[in-house]
Amino acid sequence: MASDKENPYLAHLPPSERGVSSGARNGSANPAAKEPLYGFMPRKVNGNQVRKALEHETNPFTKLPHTPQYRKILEARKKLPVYAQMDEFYKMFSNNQIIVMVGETGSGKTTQIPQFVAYSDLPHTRGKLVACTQPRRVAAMSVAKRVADEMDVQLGRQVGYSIRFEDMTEPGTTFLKYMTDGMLLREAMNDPDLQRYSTIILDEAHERTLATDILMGLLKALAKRRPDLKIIIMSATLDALKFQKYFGLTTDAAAPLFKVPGRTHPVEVFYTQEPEPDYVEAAIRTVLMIHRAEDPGDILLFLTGEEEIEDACRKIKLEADDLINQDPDSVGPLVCIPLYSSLPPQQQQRIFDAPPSARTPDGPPGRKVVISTNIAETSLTIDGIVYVVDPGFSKQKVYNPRIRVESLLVSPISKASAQQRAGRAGRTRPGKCFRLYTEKDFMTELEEQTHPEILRSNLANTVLELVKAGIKDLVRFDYVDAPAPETLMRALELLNYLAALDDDGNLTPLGAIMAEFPLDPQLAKMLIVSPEFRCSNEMLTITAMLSVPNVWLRPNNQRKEADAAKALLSVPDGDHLTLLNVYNSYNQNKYDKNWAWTNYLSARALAQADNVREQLKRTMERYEVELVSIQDPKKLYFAIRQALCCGFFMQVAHKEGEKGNYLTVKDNQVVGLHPSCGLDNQPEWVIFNEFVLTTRPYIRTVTEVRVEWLLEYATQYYDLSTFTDGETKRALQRAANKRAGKFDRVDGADGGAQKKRKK
Amino acid sequence: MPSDAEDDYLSDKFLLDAASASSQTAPKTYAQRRQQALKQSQLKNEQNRLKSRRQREVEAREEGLSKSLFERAQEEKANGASGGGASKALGIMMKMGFKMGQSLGQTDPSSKVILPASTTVSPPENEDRQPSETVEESGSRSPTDSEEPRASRSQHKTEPLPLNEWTGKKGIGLGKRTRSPLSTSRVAKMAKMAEDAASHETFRDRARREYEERRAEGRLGPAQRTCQTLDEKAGILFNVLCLNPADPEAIPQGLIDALADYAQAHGAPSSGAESSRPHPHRDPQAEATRLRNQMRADALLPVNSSLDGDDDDDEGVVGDTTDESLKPREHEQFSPETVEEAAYFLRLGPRDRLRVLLTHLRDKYAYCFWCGTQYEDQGDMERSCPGTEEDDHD
Repeated sequence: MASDKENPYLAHLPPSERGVSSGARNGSANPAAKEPLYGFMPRKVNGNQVRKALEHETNPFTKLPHTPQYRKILEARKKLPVYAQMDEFYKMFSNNQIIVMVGETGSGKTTQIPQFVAYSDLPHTRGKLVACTQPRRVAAMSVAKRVADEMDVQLGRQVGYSIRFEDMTEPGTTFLKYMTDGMLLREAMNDPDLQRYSTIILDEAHERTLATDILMGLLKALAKRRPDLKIIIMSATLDALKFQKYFGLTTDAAAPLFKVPGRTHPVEVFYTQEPEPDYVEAAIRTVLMIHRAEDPGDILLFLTGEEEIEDACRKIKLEADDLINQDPDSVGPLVCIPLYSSLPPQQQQRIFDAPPSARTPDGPPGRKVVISTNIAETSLTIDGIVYVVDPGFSKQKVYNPRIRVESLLVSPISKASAQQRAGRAGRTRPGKCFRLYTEKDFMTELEEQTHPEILRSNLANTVLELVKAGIKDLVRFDYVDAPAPETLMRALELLNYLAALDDDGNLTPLGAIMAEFPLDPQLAKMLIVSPEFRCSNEMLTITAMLSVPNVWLRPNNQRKEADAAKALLSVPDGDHLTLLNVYNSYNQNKYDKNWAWTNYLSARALAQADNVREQLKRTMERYEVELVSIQDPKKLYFAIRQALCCGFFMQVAHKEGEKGNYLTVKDNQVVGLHPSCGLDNQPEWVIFNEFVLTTRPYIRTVTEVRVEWLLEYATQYYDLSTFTDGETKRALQRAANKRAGKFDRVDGADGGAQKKRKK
Repeated sequence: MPSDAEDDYLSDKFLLDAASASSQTAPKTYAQRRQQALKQSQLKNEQNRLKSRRQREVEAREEGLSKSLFERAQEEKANGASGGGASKALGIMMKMGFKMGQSLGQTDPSSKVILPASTTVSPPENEDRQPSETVEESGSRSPTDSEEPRASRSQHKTEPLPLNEWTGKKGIGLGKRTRSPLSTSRVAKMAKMAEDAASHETFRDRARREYEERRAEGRLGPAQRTCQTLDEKAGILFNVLCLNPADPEAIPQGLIDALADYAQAHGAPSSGAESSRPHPHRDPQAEATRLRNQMRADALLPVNSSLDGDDDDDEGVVGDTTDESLKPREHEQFSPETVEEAAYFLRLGPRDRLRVLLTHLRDKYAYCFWCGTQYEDQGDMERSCPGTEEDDHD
C-alpha cells in the first residue's frame, strides 16, 4: 500500500482515484472496487498492485466475477517459486528491455511469467499481444489451456495458441498467445517488426531449436529498431550466461538475469568403475539390481530407439519374473513400460499408470520401470521417478550438406544432457542416478552441450523464410551459433534451382509465394506448378500426407497382417501414389476410424492429413493456384509423377547394377530402397522424399520417374557438364542423345517441336 | 509369444536360423546333402554380397564427406561448367561477403584483443567480468555459475558436423570418437592388409616374401625421409607413417606408453585418457625392449634380426635428425586415433608399410616415389606418372 502512495505517475489524480485510500474501498464511488486494474500504468506496475488485482472479485479481462475454481488454482499458484519473486520480476521487467530468465523445471515460469507480463503490459488496452513461444506443438496447446483456466477465461479468446495448421486465437480479443517458435518465425517473415506484439517471451531457449535460434538473431536486431518491444529469454539450465552475453553485446553489458529456484530434490550420482562392454546388457543388470536392493520408487531407463527399448522391456520382464519365482518374498512385482515417439498416444499414456501393487498386503511393493528414448529427457515429465539409469547414448539427427543426408545415428550424449537426465530422478523426492560409464569418461568423452539444432539441420526452409523477412545478408547474420557455410550453400543452391532465388540471391516472385506455404520449398514448388499438369488436387493430397506423421501402423505382433494390408493399398509405380491412394480410400470410406483401424492405418494421422489439406487448400486459393484434376487415372498418374519431378529433381537416384543399389545423382551415394518402399520392381530412375542414414543409407518414399522428364523439367540441373563421369552420366547422355535425335527428326516436319526443345 | 514372431521379416536372423536348422539334422541322402550345400553356398553368397554392399556404401560416404562443397565448386569451374549449382550458390554467398575458409555469423572484434591464442573460449565469454554487478543485482547467482567448467560459446563452425557411427553396443569409453574420414579408411585398409598377410604360405612364397620385405625395408627409409621433408614443408610435425618398428628410439616416448596401453587393451581402441597421464621419464633402452617384446607378443610383426643391418645404415642419417625433431614432441599428447593408427601401422609388414606410405605421398603431396618427382597436382601426376607400382617405372 505504501508503494501505491509513492507512485508518481498517479500524482495528477485526486487521492480518491489513486486507489490509495483504503477507507474509500467500501464506497461504491471507488473505481478500484469495480475495476481491478484501476491505477495500473503500463509497465509501471508492481507486485502489490498485481496481487491485489488477483484477489479481486472481478476478472479484469472478462469483467465477470471469478469462479470458485479460479480461487482454488490461485492458491496453488501462490506456492510456485516464481510467484514468491513477483516483486523482483516487476522491478526488473520495468527497467529493462531484455531479460534472461532461468528457472528449473517446476518453477512455474512457463505458466506464470506470461501472466505477470500481461498484468504489466496491459496488452488488451493497447491492441497488442504478449507472445510466448514453445518448441513443441503439444506444449503450446496444453500450456495455453492451463493458463486459460488460471486466468478464468475461455481458451481461444483472451488466451489462445497458434501452431502450424491450427490457429486457436480470436483477433482483437486474444492478448496472450502461446505459439510454437516456428509460427512466430513465420509471422516475422511477413511482419519483420512484429508490430502486433508488446512483449515476446522465448521459452525453453536452452533447447536451442532451429526456430528459437533464428528468432534470437531476429529479436536482437529488432530490439534496436523497436525500443518499446520487451523480450524475455527463458531457459531451464544455467546456460543462460551465453544468452545474457549474446543479448548484452550491443549495450556492452550482459542482459540481466532473473533467477528462480526450481523445486527439485538432490540426486546422488553413481558411476561405473570400468567402461561397459555392452550398455544395453549393463542397463538391464542395473535395473534389476535397483529392483532387488533399493527402496521403493520408479525407475527411468534411457535407451536409444524403439527396437532397443522393446528388446530391453522383454528381457527385464523375463528376469524379474525369474526373481519372483526364485524368491517371492524378496522382490515385488515389476512392470515395464516402453516410451518412444512412434508409440500411439494411448500407449504413451501408460507411463502415468501407478506402479503395480504388492502381491500380498505386507509383501514387497511393486515397481514401475519406464524405458524411454530421450523424449523423457525434456518433453515429458513423469512423476514418481526416483532412479534414473543412464547409459549415455541417444539417437541424434544430423544433416550433412556434403552428401545431403539426414542421419539418425546413436551417439554419446552431452554433459548437459546427462545432467538433465539425472535431474529426472529428483522430481518427487531425493533420488539416485546410475551412469553406465566412468566418471573419467564423463569428464573427457562427453561434449559440454548438445549441438544446437541449427548446426544439425537442413536450412533450405529457414533461408527462404529469412530472405522473405528481408534479411539480405545471411553470411553476417548474427547467429547465436553459426551453421556451417556449406549448409547455407546447399540451401541457396536448392532455392536457386527451384527459381525461388535469382543468381544474386534476391527473392523471385515465385519464391515469395513459395515462402507463404508452411512447407519445404520442394513441396511448395511442386504444388505451385501442379496446375500445369492438371493434377493440383492430387498434389495437394500428397503434400498433406507427406506433412503428417507416418500413417502406417505396424504393431510388433501383427507385422505380417499389417504388411498384407499395406500391399493392398500400394500402387506399384511409387510411394507418393500410394499415399494418394490411401487418402482417397479413407475419403471414400467416409473418414471411418474403423476402416483405418482394420487397414492398419493411423486414424489420427489421416485426420491430421485431412486438416492439413484444408489449410493448404486455403493458401492455394489465396494465391490463385487452380485446383484441377484429370479424369483418366492412367494419365493422372503420369501427370503426378511429372509434377513431382518439378520439385524433387535434386532428389533422384539412378539404379546401379542388378543388386538393387542406387546412386544418388551428383553426390554418388550408394543407397538402398527403404524396407517400407512399395515399388514392385527396381526402376532405373527414382525420385525420393528423403535420404536417411540409419542402420544403412536409405532413400524413403520413392517413386519411379522417367529420365526424359528430368531432362525436360530440370534442364539446368541435368546439364551434363556438371556431372562427374560414371554410369549415371552415361545414362543421361544416352537419354539426351535420344531426345535430341527424336526432336531432330520431328523438327523437319514441325517447327513447333523446335520451340519446345529450346525450352 | 514365440520369439521369432517379433522378428521383422527383413531381419537377417532368418538366414541364420535357416542355416543352423539345416546343420542340426544330419542329412541322410545325397540329394539332401547337395541341397544343404547349395543352401549354404547361397547363404555365403548373400553374406558376401551384403558385406560388399556395406563396404561400398561406407566408401562412397567417406569419399563424399571428405570433399567440401567449395572444392566441388572449384572442380565444377575447372571443368568449364559455369552454370553449376555449387558455384552459383557460392557466388551468392560471396556477394553477401563470404570468404572461403571463414565461418558465418558475426565475429566480435574485441575478442581478439582480450583473448590470446585460446580458441575454445568464446568472444563473449570474456566479457562477463564487467557486467557482474548487473548479474549480482538480479539476485542469488549460483556459485556453480563461475566454477563449472562450461563449454563457452565456441568459435563458429567452418565445417559441417561429422557423421559418427557408433558401432555395436559398446559403452562410453570404449567406442571410437570422431576422426577424419581419411584416417578411418586408412585404418580399415591396414587392418585388411594385416589379415591378408596372416594367411598361409608355402616355403617358396616365404622365401620370396622375405626377400621382398628386405627390399621394401630398404626403400622405406628414403621414402620416410621424403615424407618428413614434405610434412615439414606443410607444417606437419608428426606423422604416424614415418614410424619405424625396428627403431623404437625414434618413436616419441608418449606414444610408446600409449601404444603399450593400447596393446594391453587387446586391440580395443583406448579411451584417450592415458595419453594425458603424465609419464615419468624412463630408460629409453628398456622402453625399446618393452615395445619389441610387445610386438613379438602380438606375433604380427616378426622382429627380423637381419633387418638390423639396414637400420644401422639409416641411423647415421635418419636417427639423428629424427631424434632431434622428435624430442620436443615427447610430451605431446597423442589422440586415441593416432595411437590406433600407429598400432596398426607398426604391425604391418614392411611391404605393406611401404605401400601405405607411398599411397599417402601420392594422395597428399602428388609425389611419386618411383619417379622421385612431386607433381603440381593429382591431374598432373595422372598424366605424367606411368603408374603406382615400381614395375610401372621400368
